[in-house]
Amino acid sequence: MFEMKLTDLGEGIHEGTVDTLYVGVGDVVTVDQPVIAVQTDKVTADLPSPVAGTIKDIVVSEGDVVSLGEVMVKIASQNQEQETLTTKTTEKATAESQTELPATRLFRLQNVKAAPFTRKLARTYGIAIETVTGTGKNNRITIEDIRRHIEQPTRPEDEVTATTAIEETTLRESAPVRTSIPYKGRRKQIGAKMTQSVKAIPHVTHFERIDVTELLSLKESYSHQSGASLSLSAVFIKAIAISLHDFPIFNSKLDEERGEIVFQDTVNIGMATHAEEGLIVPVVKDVDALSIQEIHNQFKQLTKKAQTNTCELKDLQGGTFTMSNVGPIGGVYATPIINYPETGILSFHKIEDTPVVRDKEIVIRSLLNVSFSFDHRVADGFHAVSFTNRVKELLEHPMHLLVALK
Amino acid sequence: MTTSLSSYLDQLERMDHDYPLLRMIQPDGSKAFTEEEYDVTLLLSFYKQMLRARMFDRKAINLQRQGRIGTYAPFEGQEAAQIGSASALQQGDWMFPTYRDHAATMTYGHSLETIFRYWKGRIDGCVPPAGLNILPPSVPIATQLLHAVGASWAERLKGQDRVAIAYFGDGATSEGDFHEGLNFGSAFNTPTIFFCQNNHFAISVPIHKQMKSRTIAQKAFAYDIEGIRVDGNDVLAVYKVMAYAVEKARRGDGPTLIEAVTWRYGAHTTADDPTKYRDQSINEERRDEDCLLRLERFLRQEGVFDEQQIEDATHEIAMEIDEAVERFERAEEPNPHDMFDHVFEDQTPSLREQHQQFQKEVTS
Repeated sequence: MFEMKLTDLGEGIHEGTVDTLYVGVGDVVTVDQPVIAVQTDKVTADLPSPVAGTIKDIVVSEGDVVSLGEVMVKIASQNQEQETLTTKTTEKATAESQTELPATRLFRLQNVKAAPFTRKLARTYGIAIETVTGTGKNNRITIEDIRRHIEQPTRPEDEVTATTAIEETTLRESAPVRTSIPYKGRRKQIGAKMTQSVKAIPHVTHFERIDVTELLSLKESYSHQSGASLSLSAVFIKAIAISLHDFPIFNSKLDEERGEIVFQDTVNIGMATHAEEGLIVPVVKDVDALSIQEIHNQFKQLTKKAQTNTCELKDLQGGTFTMSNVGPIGGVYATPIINYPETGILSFHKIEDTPVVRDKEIVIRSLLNVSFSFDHRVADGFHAVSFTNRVKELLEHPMHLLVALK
Repeated sequence: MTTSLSSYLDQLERMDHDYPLLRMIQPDGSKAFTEEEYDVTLLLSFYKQMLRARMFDRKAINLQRQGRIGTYAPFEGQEAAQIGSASALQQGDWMFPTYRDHAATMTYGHSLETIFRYWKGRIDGCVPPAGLNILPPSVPIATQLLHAVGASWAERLKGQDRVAIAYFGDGATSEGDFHEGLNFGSAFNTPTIFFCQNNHFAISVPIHKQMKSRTIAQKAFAYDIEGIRVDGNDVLAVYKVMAYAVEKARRGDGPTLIEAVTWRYGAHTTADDPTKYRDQSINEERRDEDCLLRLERFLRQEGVFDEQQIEDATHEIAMEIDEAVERFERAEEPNPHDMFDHVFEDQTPSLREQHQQFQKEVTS
């Protein structure tokens, strides 16, 4: 009995729908006579019989969804030989064994930046290219680097490290170590977004130190008096919103196609939030209309949603500026990547008690470092420094912030 | 003479290069040139070759639908253009086909079995019979034009009179390689025949969306080489034009661009559905200009169309095809490791890595 199965009709089709049956049980068919029409994403195709014979059984009906390899029609063939021919299974070819590169070396090799010619040169001289220090743009290894590497006398510690590396890799190979994780889902989305931003936007990052001693003591006395806690982030967000009013260029977005820098009507601040699946940026909308307390409430609510992976689409849309408070984790400075197509992103780092000079005296103050990345197509360093100065002023002197509140 | 620039420009006649469509046999089967001698024996042989190609093509589609070969690019409708052109070549000449030019390669000498092997993804499906310079089909569009220019230029430098033909479609003329090939061929006077089968569709893009030029042949004008437009469904006209271009190239008078205007009835490949981008009822009209039908009409008018003879030929071809199918399906299992060879002389590190990964897959 010849079993007619669904074959791959297009490139990479996995299933199809039975469109029309041209035959009934008992019908005699000739070689290449259409038996059944199947519709897939790509084509509707008549499937001809590979054998001549009598239809013995029709397993499917019109409208059925059939998977690749599923039997549709059974034909009693006139020629037994043909059956074996078309149902022949592929034997597995035995592979020649070849010397393998350790997987870890391959991984490192893929992260080396060098032109094919440079790589070839390294191979010619028997140099492991990943041991060469690149001096070109983005640490790219140049032909000169290879030459220098050749001329360099071999240092004994190099050899030691090389041996240890080999031992390590041999050890690792014997144990089932996970050498890769899938690049997909949120990770891939983040990747695409970051690449888009870095490719399109010429980033400049400006650093500043802000003295938050006064702000911290006010916050403490507020907590003490009211018994409620207030997150610093809420104050930061308010300070940003006020500053954006003075420097609306950072609340704009560049529409290159139309050749316009578009100023946004409202200030909606996205908060870069860490979640298990990866970075996510929920947005506090219309910050102008919110009190610091209300910002705090929304901040808490959105952070929780982000961490429990329950953000709705609307929570993530409409941002005009992004802030990132990485202070609780640590760090001195950073060069944050702008949340495309916004114009600026402001990162707040760890607050540290630092000896500083005030009125010619060394005193200990609480200093907060900030890093402000902006789109240099849209604004200049002058604007960025002025904007950051305004944020600094509001946070260093809370009275200024109070006065600016509407 | 005119007195002002604007009137000069107004009077300036638009360059109107006429590239008329050459026909030897009208669609109704009558002779286009009444005083010409028509070689009936040659035409009968063309008819059988076209029949063979068409039957092969239909069989290949069936094999694909039965899961016995991979994705296939059908050529039904283009037999005359391919067979007429390939028939004008001599042994030693170079043929650079695409994936749709099997009527040309089988006319020049490829066995049907070899072509089936190609579509089974086998490397031996690329190997021509000894002494025939047939290159493996070019799947990237228009790259083979440059190869053909290079090969024919090399023959010239070696003092040989061999020529090269590059097959391509209308879509290929939008590629940079097409223009580079024509320019180089023109500048170095290479013995190259640029043979375009204009079937009016680049996969799904109709020609009017692809170019503003009224013809493809006119693109030769810019390179100061001859451009000839011929009815691609008229096997005799194609043969004559091609013979002219080959002879010219052989004697050292440079390249020619031939536009054979034709039509493919079917899909671009078995993986697409032409009804989604083309009104298939046009096929009905086109069938009236079909290359086989036209030649049949001519041969009948000449009184040499012997139905019994054609039936016998059909039977013979069917047997030849069946044997070819049987042989390629009985062939030894292909070596899957072949796919990692032949692009680079030595495997590149990334290719080696892929090969190793593959080895693990097939042995586990």
